[in-house]
Amino acid sequence: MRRFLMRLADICRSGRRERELTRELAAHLQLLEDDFIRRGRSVEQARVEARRALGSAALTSDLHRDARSFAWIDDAQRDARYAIRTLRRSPGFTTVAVATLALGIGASTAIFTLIDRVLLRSLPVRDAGDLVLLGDARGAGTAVGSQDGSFTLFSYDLYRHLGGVGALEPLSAVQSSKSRASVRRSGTGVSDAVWTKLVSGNYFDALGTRPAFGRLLAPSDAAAGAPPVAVVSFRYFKERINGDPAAVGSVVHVNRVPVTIVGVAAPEFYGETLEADPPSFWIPITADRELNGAAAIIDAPDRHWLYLIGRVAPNTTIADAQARVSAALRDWLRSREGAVLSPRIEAEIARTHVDFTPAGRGVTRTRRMYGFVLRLLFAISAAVLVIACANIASLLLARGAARGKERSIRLAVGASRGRLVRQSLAESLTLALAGGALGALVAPASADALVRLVFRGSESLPVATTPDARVLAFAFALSCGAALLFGALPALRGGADAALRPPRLAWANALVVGQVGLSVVVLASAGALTRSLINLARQPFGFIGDRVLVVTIDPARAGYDYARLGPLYRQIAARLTALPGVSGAALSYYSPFNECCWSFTISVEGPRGPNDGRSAMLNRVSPGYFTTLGTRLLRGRAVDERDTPASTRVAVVNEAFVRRYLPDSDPIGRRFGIGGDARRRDLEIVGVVENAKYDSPRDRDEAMAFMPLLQPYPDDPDGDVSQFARTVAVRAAANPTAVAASVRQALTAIDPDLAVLRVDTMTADVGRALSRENVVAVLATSFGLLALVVTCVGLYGLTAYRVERRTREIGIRVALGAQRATMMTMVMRDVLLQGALGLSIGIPAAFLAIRVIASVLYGVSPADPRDAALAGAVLLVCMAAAGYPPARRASRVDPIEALRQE
Amino acid sequence: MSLVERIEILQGTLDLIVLRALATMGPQHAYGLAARLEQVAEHPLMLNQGTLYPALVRLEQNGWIKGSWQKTENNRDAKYYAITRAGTRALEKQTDRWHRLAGLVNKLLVDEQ
Repeated sequence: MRRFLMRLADICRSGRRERELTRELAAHLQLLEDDFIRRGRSVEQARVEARRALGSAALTSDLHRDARSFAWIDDAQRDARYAIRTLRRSPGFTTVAVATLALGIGASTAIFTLIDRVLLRSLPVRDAGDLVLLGDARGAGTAVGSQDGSFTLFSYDLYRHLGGVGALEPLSAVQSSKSRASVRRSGTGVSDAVWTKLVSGNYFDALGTRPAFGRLLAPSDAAAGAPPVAVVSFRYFKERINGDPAAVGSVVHVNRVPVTIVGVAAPEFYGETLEADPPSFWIPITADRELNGAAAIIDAPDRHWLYLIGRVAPNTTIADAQARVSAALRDWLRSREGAVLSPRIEAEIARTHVDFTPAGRGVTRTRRMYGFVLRLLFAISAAVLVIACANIASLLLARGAARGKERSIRLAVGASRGRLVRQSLAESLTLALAGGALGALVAPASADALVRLVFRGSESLPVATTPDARVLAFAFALSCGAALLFGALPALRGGADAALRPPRLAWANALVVGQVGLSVVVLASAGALTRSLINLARQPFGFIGDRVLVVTIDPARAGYDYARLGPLYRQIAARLTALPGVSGAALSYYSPFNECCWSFTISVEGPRGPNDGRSAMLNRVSPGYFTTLGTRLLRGRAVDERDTPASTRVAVVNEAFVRRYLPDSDPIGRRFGIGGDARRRDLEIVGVVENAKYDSPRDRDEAMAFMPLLQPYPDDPDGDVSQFARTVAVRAAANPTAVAASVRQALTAIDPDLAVLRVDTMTADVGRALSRENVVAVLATSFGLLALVVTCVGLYGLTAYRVERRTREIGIRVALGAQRATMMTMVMRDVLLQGALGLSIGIPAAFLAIRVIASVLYGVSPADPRDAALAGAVLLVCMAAAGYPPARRASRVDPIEALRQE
Repeated sequence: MSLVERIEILQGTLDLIVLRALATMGPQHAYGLAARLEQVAEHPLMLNQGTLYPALVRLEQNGWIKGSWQKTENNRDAKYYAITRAGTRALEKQTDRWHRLAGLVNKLLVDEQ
C-alpha cells in the first residue's frame, strides 16, 4: 500500500528521481573504474570493463522507472508531452482546432446546463418523485365551466370537497397564476411590487421542504379568522430585507393589509412551478378575502383558479386515487347543478374526470414551452461539434499524410505501431481536452446569457447556471468523445499506413463531404427558423403597438369597490389623455401579451350551432380601447360612455367569433351568453372588431368578446372580478417611453394608493412574447454560420495541402504545355465536386430536418425548397471562395521551381 | 545465460539478500552491495550490477532502507543505503518465510527422489 502511494507520488517528481539515478549510476561507474584500476587495469581498460559490469545504463534506467512508478502513466505522460510539442510546432492548426472545439463543446455544455436544470432536475423538496398534480396544468388563471371534461383548475370549494376524499394525503392547493402585490415594510414609505401566491395551509408540508428561518405555513394559518401571515422567499429575504433574521416576526403591508412574516423558505425552494420571477410571498389562501377585497374569488365555488398537488395516500394506488377523486368531482358538479339535470349536462358531467400528472419536476409551462426548443438547440450545437470534429479529423489526416516520412523512419527504427497509434490519440486527446476546458470555461457565461435572452425582462430565475459536477462531467465526456471521433480515424490510418506508399486522402475527402452535408442541414434549419421568426414578427397583430405604453395597476387592492370604479376609470382616461404627448388612454382587464387571458364557454341565442359550448376568450374594456390600441372596428360601434351598469348588457366581438358562432347572419343585435343554455340571451352584440393576437403570436384567430368594464354580468349583479381593470394602455404621439414618467405621476396624483405595478411598452410585451423564437433563430443562425466557417476552413486546409503535394506534378504538366487555367479548373473541379456530393446528401437531409422541427415553425412549409436551396447556394459560394486561393496557387506554379523541389 | 533468466533467478530473493547484506555489513553503496553479492555467489559475472537498482527502489519505497549521499574512503561521492528499523523487522519476517519455503521445497524435492 505504502509502495503504491509512493509510486503514485513518484509520477509528480519523476524528473528529479531520474537525475538522481543518473548521478548514482555515474558514481557506481566511478567506483567500478577505481576498482579495476586498483586491480591493475589501464584507465582505458578499466572504463570499458566497468561499463560492461554495470550493463546498459538505458536498460537500468528503464527497469528503475518500472519499479519506481507505473510504466503506462509514465508513457502517457511522455505521449502528452510529445503531443504538446507537436501541436506547438503548428500553432495555426492548433489554434483553429482548439477554438472550434471550444465553441462546439462550450455551446453544447451551455445548452446541456439548461436542459439539466429545466428539464431533468427534480423540485428541491423531499421525495419529489412522489408528488402528483391533479390535472395537467395546461392552463393557468381562472376558469369557469367544464374545462373540456378534464379538470386542471379547481375552486376553493372544490378543493375542500376533494380533500375530504382522502385519496391524497396531504392534498394542497396553490394559486395557479401568481399575482403582483404592493408590499410596504413598516417604517418605510416605499412600496415594492412583488409576486405572491396564495397557498393552502398544508402547501409546504405537502411539498416537503424546510424553512431557512422561522417557520413555514401550517393548516391553522388558513383557518377562519387566523391573522394574515406570509412566508417569504430566500431571495426576497436576502435582497429586500438584507438577510436579517430579525425580520421574521415583523409586519409588512401587503395591499395595505398588515401581514406578519413568519418565516423564510429554504434558499433552493422556488415553489411548485419552474418559472421566471418565482413568488416572493406565499400567503395562506384564506387571506384572499382581506388582500383582494371585492376581487376575492375564494368564496366563488364556480371560479376555478387553484392547482392541487399532493402525495397519494399510503395503501392507495394512483389509479385508485384518480378514480376516487374523479368520482368526487362528478358528485360535486352534480350538486352545483341543482335538483334537475338535463340529459346534456348529465352526459357532460359523466365524462368529466381528473388525470394525475407526476409533479416531481414541478408544474411548468416553461418545460413544455422550452423542452423541444432546448432539445433542438442541443441537436444543432451537437451537429456543429460533429462538423468541427470531422474538420479536425480531415486536417489531421492530411497532416498525417504529410508526416508519412517521419512515421516511416520511426517504424524502421523499431517503434511499434501500437505506440504510434497511441501517440496520435494522445495528440487528439490533448487537443480535445484543451478545447473542452476552454469550452467549460465559457459555458456558464453562455448558459447565463441564454437564460437572460430567453427570459428577457425577468428579474430573477430559479435556474442556476453555475457549473456543477454533472455539467463538468458532461463537458469532460464530450471532450473525450470528440477526441475519439476525430482522433480514431487518423490514428488508425497513421498506424496502418504502409511505410512508403503515399497515403491517399479518400477518408479526408469523405469527411469534407460529410461536413458539407451537415452544414446544409444546420444552415437550412437556421433559415427556416429565422423565416418563421420574421413571419411571426411581421404578421398583422390586430393592433398597432409601437407607440403604446402599458401600465399595470390594481384598483381592487387599493381598496376600490364596484361603485367607485366608474369615476376612477373616467378620471384615469381623462387625465392621461390630457397629458402632453398622449393622444389617448383606455383601460382593460388585460392587454395583448400582458396578463392574458380569460376563456369561457359561450352559448349563442337561436338554434344550437356546432360550436356552441366551445370556449372563447373574454376581455373587459373601457371606452376608447380599440382606438388606443389601433384595433380596427369593422361593424357597429365600440364600447363607449353609453355602456353603464344600468344600460343593456352589450359586447363587441371579433371576426373569429362571428365566423365561429354566427357564420351566416348579421351579428349586430344578436345575443350570446357565458355558460350554459340558460345564459344565451345575456349580452347583445353591438360591434365587430378585427382579430388580434393576445395570448401568443402563434395564436390562430381566437374567438374573442369584449364587454364594457363597468357592466356587471347578469348572473353576478354585484360585480365581477374582471371589472377591476389591470392594465391601462396609453397611446403616445411619439416615443411612448418619453411619457412614462408623466403617466406615473398622473396616476399617483389621482390616488397615491393606486400602486403602479409595472410600466412598459407594448412593443416590449410583443418582443417578450417572441423571445423564445428570437433566441432560437439567433442561436441557430450563429451555429449555422459557425458550421459554415468551420467547413470552409477545413476545405481550404485540405485543398491547400493537396495542391502543395501535387506541386511537382503540376510543374511537370505545365512544363509539358498544360494551360494554367486548366490547372486551376482541375483544383476547383475537385472542390466543387466535393460540394456537389455534400449537397446531394445535405439537401434531402435538410428537408427531413425541417419536417422534424415543423412544430416550432410558423408560416414555413416543410416542403418549401427555399431554405435548403439558399443554404446549398451559400455553401457552394463559400466553398468556392475557400478553394480559390489554393487553386490560384496551382495555376501559378513555376515549373522550374517545382521541379527543383526535393 | 540471458539477462532475463538471471533476473528471474534473483527475483524475490534479491530483496532479501540486499536487506541481509545491509544488516550485517552496515550502510553500503550499490557498488559495494554488488561486490558483496558476487563474493557470496562466488561468481563474478552472475549479476549485471545495474539490475540491483530496481530492488533498491522497491526497498526504499517500502521504507525498509534509506539512502543518503556520502563520501567513500577514496573521497568519491556515492549513495549509501542503510537498513531502517522497519527493514530489520521485514528482514526477520522474510528470513523466516524463506526458511519455511526453502524447507518445504527441499522436502518436496527429497520426497520426489
